Amino acid sequence: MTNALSVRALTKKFGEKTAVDALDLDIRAGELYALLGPNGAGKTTTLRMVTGLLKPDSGAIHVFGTDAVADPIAAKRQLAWLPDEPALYDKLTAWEYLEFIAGLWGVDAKTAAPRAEELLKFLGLWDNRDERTEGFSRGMKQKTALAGALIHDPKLLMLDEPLTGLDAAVARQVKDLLQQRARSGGSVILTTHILDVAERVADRIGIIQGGKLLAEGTLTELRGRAGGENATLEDVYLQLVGASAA
Amino acid sequence: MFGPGGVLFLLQHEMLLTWRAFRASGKGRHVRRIVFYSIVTAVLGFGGYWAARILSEFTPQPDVVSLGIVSGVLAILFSLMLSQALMLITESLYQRGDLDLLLSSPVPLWRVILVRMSAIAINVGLFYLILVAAVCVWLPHFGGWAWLGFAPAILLLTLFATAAALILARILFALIGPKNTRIAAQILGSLIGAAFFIATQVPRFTEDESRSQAMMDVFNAVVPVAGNPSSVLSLPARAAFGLNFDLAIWAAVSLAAFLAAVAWYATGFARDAAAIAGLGQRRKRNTRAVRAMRSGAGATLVFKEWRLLRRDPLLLSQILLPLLYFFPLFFVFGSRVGDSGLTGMSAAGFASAFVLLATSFAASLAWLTVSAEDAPDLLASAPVARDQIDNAKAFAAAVPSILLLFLPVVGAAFFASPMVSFWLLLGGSAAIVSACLIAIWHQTPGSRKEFRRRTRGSLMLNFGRAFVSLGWIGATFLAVAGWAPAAIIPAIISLGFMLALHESRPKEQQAA
Repeated sequence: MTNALSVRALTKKFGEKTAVDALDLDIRAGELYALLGPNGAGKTTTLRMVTGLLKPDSGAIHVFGTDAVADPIAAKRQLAWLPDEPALYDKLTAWEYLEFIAGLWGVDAKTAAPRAEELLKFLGLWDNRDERTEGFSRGMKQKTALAGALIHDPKLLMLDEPLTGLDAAVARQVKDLLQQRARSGGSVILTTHILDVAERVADRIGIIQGGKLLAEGTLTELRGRAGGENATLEDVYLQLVGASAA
Repeated sequence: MFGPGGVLFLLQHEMLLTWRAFRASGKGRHVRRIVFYSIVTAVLGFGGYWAARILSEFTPQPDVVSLGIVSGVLAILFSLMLSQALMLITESLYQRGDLDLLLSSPVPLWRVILVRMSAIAINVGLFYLILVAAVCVWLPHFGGWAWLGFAPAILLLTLFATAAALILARILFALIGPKNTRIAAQILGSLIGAAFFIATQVPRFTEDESRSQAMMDVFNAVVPVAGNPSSVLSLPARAAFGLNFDLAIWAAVSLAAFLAAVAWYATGFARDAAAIAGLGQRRKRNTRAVRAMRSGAGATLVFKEWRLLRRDPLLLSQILLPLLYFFPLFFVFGSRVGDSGLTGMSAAGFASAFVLLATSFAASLAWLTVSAEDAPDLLASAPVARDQIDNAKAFAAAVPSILLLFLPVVGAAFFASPMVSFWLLLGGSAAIVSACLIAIWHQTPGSRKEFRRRTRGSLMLNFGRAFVSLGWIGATFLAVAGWAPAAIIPAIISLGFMLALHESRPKEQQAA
């Protein structure tokens, strides 16, 4: 079965600093994968290269078998990217924003409108659909951006710190949506520093530091590496990251 | 006053921020900046040297005519300062920056406002201070001590203008509320700033003889009042001449006006600031029936740009206001029309002025649509080729510009001839398309809030832009004036500069 995402020897340097160092990563189709790591570990840089926002110095990226470096447009059609700071247009309404995203991804208007309605209702934004996003709270903006990421029904959804700054109720909605998405066959990668989230929702977890993958596996597998089945993800994480830093 | 939280402490903080903003807004590399500022310093020093040398040969004579003329010059300076201060004051309220931090600190409100307004006065006066200083440093060398009074008089005028701007801003706020004050202040500021420039062109409407008579009439009416030594209106001019205690009185008046205006402004400041903070709050709107969506990347991109432009009245006013400065050009050409109607040179003048106007408008719009993208990462992650995005955005800028040109094209066909209309359409369209293409080739990414800094870029790029525009303007002028074959020369010059700009575009644009 083709992987949702396959990354081989991916490298990116910013001046002298190596942000991503010959990284190999495989995300299976229908999997919810959490990428953990301290600040500056290379999580966001990796995802930005997959999305085509950054050009890798070397290495290969395949999205559902499509070479994302050689044919970025074809790869982009299959994925969605949700940055930690939602990129909205203040003067557009939530409905117009979704119309715009659907247009960019080439979704037919007849398909996009009911899909937008479904998403906005699910995320509790239906009554706010004709309001400009400039007055939205952080949570509402994040949910609008999430609806935008899902309007074209991407096969691979990538989210950078999707729960940062969200209140408990909104965070719960987002987590439910991601799990639902993975259950229905979609692939999801999320970066987070909230270990509890990764522990609860992820099928597999990868821990990255210094641009290299330190460990990867299910929570049970990672616990095994930490030497105890009662160990929490926090224990595993601190042990791996601490050992690497030392 | 000097300790933490004191006036000077806060003023130092304001000046540090201003300096950092100034440095950040500078363009080019360090060496290029040093060269640029060295040239400016040399020009100022040289100009100041000769100005001081010439002035020192005369002894200031504060008679009615001299006082009247100096009062007139100071009045023009006052209008320019008032315009700038009004815009800075309103912006300081809306672009809150560290205002919330300062207002939540235990520093008294009056002190925060006093410092902020003093910083604005310094900002407003700095340009004039530099000009005046360039002359004043040479005056003692040539024995021109008597002229030194102009420096403090002009600086005090800055304080007085800031006080007037504070009062005007407060009145605007009370009359039209926080939502409209920002735009109104911007329009009013631009009108005040341009008023003198436009007023100087009004006499051009009249015949030559009556024009000079009209100017003499104005001169004879204004000078005796503004130059009357016992009139309050001549106080700043008398202070500049260093008469009796006039400089001390002018200092007292300016300072008192500034402090009184700050005190009055402070009384309503907390309420006004709160009202502005409330502008960002979500307003409940009536939801409408579900509307159909548009399909296609090109159409959604174009409509997105138009929606963003239409819904930002502040930005629209910023785009449209510079057009105000073109009106004197129409007056100039209009004065040549005479009884013979819109033919020959006058038609050529009108046509080329409209090409200039359309180019300026298109360049502004193209910067907004192409370079001032709010969500560049979103577009970069979309499965749409960079060329398609750029072309759609340029199209969004070109269409309103061509519509702006449409009215004069129709007017030219009606009042002049179909050929004039044709050449105007051709020249104007070429200029608009060129402006949009340059905006694509040489993008200067920035926020919409940085609209006023849209022309930043290399000196060569700005030269290139200017020559392309001038080429199309010249070609239109020659073609409309009846020398169509000669119009090929400036058109070729424009195309040559376009080719150079295309070839010198950054690598990422070449790859796109």
